[in-house]
Amino acid sequence: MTDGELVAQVRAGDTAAFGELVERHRGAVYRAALAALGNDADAEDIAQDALVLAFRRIDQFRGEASVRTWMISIAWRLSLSRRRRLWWQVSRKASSDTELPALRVVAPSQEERMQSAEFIRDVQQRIRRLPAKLRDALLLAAAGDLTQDEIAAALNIPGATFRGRVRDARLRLKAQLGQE
Amino acid sequence: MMNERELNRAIDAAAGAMVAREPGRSLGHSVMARVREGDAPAPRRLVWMTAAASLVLCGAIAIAVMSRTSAIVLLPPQAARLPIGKPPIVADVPVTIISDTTSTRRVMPRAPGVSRAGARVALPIDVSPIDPIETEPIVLSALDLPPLEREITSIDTIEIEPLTIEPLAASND
Repeated sequence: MTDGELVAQVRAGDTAAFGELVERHRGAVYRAALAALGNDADAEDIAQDALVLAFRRIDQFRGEASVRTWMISIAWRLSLSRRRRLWWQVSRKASSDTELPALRVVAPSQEERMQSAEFIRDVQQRIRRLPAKLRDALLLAAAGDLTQDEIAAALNIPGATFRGRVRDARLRLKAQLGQE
Repeated sequence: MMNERELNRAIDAAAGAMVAREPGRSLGHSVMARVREGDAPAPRRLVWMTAAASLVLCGAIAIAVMSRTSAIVLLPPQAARLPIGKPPIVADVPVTIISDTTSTRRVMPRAPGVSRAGARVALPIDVSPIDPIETEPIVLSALDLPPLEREITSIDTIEIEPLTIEPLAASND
């Protein structure tokens, strides 16, 4: 069953159909919130609010974009609103050790693995220090849930603007890393 | 020094690791619990009808309040409607008059908790009884007064010379 059919069922009063939509898209909604907020607790909180809001506003979904894009756009607006209140906490959020096990898979040997983990942690610190618009674009693109044009639609900006932000973020990081 | 491809790969890996997470299973359950708690999504028609009904209700309330306010303004004040010569209304203050042997005292209401014993203080002065004063009755008697001596003085006449007018001097000397 497609997302559009599920939306029609929800509009007809079938609450369980919305449960199926939640199962399909909660990960993408959560990751979008995580890209904006940088911590699990806030991201999960915002993802929950965004999905409930999507259910209440299901009549406002016009079908111009995909359901996932629409839900992510709701989550993104809520995330930015939360981030404005908590920006100082986000900026001081240190990298956690929970990220390292996933990163160690990148390097093959033990020595290279440790070096790579350290290096990637350094890159992550630099990503956190990027201007918010560049960081958001880079992280949303890295999440891989939407194409760049879909992300641009969710953020309500032109696709070229979004691609330019991703490119600028990369250039800044490479310039910093290449100097060392 | 890393080449550009390695840098791009490192950036992708670092950025991907920052967002490569899955939400807990509780997220879906929490969302559906909140969804079931609330009502079904309100259709737009119902929203518009609710908004229109609220608008009408607000208008009715505003009209009612305005009409009531004007009625209140037109009424004369309470004091003006009293008949002339009616005795003034005295506030109903609890007043107790205690008849004492020598005088009447006005007892004002006091605050609760204040005892009367604190107000009355017994004087430690031993007053001895005073003996009555005996006075003699007043007797009216005629007074013998000497007659007043009258001294008559005469007034001398004053002689005034007749006034003469002299001609003014020709010079200013």
